[in-house]
Amino acid sequence: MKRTKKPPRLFRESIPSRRYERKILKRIPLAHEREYLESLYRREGESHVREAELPNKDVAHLRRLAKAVKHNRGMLQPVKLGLLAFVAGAGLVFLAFFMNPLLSSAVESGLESAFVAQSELQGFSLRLFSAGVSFDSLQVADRNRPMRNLFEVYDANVQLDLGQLLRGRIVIQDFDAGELRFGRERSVTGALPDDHPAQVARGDAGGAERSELLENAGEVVQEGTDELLSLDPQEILASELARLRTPAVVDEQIAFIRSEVTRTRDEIAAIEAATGEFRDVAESLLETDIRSIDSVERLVVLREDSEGAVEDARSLLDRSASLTAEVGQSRVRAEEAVRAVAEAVNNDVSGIQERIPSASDVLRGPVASFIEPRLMAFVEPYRDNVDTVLEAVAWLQNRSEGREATSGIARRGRTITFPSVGYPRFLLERAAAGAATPAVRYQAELLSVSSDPEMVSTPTTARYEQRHNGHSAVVNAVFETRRSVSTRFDLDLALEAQPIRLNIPNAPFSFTGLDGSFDLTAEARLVETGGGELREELVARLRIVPEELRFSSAGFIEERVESVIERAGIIEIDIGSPAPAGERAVRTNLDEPIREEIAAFLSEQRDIIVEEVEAGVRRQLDEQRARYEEELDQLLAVYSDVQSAAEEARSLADEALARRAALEARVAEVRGEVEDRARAEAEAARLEAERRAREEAESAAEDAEERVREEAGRVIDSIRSPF
Amino acid sequence: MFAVLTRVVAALNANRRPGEIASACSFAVLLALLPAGNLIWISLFAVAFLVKVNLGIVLLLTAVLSPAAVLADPTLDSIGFRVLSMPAMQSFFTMLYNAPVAPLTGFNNTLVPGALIAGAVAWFPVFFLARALVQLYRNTLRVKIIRSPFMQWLARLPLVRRLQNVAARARSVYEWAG
Repeated sequence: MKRTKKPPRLFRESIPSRRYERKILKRIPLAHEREYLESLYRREGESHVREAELPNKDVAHLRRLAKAVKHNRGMLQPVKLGLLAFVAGAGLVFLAFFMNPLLSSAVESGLESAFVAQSELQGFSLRLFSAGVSFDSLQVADRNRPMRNLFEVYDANVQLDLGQLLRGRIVIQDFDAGELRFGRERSVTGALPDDHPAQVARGDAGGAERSELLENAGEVVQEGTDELLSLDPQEILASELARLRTPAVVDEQIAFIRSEVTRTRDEIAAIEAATGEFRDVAESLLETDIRSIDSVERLVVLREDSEGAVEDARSLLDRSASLTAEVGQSRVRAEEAVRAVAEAVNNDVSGIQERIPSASDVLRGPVASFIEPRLMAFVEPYRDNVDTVLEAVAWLQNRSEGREATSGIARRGRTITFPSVGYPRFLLERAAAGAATPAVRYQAELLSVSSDPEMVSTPTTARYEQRHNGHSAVVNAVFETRRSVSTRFDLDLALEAQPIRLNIPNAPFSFTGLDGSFDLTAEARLVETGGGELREELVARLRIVPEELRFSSAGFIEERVESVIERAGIIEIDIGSPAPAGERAVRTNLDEPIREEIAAFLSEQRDIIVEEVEAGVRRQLDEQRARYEEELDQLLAVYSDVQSAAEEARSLADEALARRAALEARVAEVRGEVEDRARAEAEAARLEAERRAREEAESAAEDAEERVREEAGRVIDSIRSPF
Repeated sequence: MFAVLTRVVAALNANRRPGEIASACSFAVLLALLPAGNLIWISLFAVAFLVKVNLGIVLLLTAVLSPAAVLADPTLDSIGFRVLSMPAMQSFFTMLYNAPVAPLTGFNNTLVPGALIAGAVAWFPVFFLARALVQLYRNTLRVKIIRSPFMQWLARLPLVRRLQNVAARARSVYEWAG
């Protein structure tokens, strides 16, 4: 048998008419559904009734109607409200269990980004309704010294401005810490890994340029008293000998002289050979007594034979003259070489004095020159801390830039501003820590740390005051991050009657340290000079009252130094940085007395050293010079040989030429005699010939006359008897 | 989008009060006029989520009307500026401006008060108009549409049947959730 389903309880068999109309019928908006329901129910008196048994189809329809009626009841959606309530409850549970760890982690992350070092926050607790935060301890490591903490804060209670917190701004009205510590050692390193976002961001951003105090410090110490006191004559001598130029010059000139000697000797041999050859050639000319020769023929033969000797003599003379000229040039070069050696020797000797430090030059501020780099090294970590704080504030500003809570309206419209008290996105109005016990009383305050310093009129200020058994320390520091103000950091420091125990290894004069007390007043500033560079200015006066001085050894200098310090009573150290050009940033009252005491001693020591070194150098130079002069003597001897050979050749050639001239004269003389004789003979011959010619002519004339007469007779005969 | 459309069609035909759809239309107009992203808009949307209005219609109409609402910006700006400049209201607005959460509402942007006023003024006309239209549809048009040959043909398509089943399941879940 098929089982019939039960209709929903809303549609009971009998429903009061008032309820039927108001609670059911009215909540069925669709007309056909209402008609359907009306078809099931009929009015009986004050009620509406239906059949007891309904078919399943009607039951299903009624169920749908019941759902619709239920839905159309009321305005709110209970399921969604429940869902919302559940989400809210879950949120509260989440906040209760996870908010503090999450916020703690976020705070640590923020501090790590700001200070670029590990941060540890413990016991963090947020009080939502009172807008307060408390924590047991906060440690932030020093990025420059990872095994130390930059600061530690214990038992802190932070009061936030709830109104501003709801507007997305963190305004710390009061930060009260039970204990504050600086620079304490850590058990684990506080450096962040290289790939940490804060490290990466720091690498990208880069810090402002700043002048380096330490860069120029210590120069004087390097070449100063330590150096002077540790001078080793043997070492200086070795150094001086190593830098001598003379041996090299001497070697060079000796090589030159040897080449000149060799070359000149070759010339001498050549001219001697030429002289010998000439002598052979001109032997007949030179050995013959020309006056005794009367024969023209002999003289002519002799002259013809001596033609070659004359040419050779002239050649020999030219060669001799050339050799003499070359020797002259060589001598000039040799003289230059001598001068070069002399100059090298002078140079080598003259630099020694200058190269050995002088007590009067070096001992300018022996104490200051030693203290200066150490003071700057002492100040360096604090300067790094200032940089760290300035960069942390800058990080805060950059992070908050453009992140002011807004309504998020993208469409255009005008934003009307109304009078209001403006707050930056982050503001720490005041943080304080302090303690007061019979022995120690200290108070530290930090004011106005802001993400928008332009909005907050006061700069970030840190104050610290401590009194302890008669010692006091007062620090006032202003970290200025407003762009309109050029002084970025301003520090006033005053320390009084602070105990001091200095242990200084490697100090000059065997000084190892002192015990006593000191007062310090200091003013430090970081001033922006434009172009992003920060100039550091430091003016400080340190007054040390020594009670015990320690030296590692005893000696003349140590005694004098101790005596000077005892006479002074107080060691006064003045620091003024940046120092004027050529001057030190540090001055002390000990420098001049110590300089005077020691200068005399050092001067004597130096004179001894200079004398010793100069003697050693001169010995070496004398050896070099002797070696050179030996070679030079050889050259001069060769020059002498050259002169002899040239002279011999020249005299031989001159003699040959003289003889040749005599020969020419003799030839002329003999030729005159012969010509006179020939002329006389010729005259006689001419006269004889004339006589003979005349006689012959007369004879011929007579013959001719005879032949003419005969001819004339024959002609006359012919005429007379032509046939 | 399909789910939203399904919900819209289901709401029109379901046994729900016409006021649910009409108030959804009014909410949609208000949300479309208001610049989004501020606390007022979020609050209004949360209210729409919690009260019995048809969320599908709210979402659909807001999405459709929002681009068009930009055209009304000059008018809204003018209204808002007048309101924000009223001397009598300055102290109130200053107090509001300095209140913790109020700036997140963006009330000092001229579009916000302008849109609020315009939306409030338009609320009831839109409500009554939409309700009348829903009633007109349910009483007259719905039957005609269902009985039209096109819808008969469409209803016989397998794909449409399958979609109907899916829509029915989605509707049942929606109804279960209220």
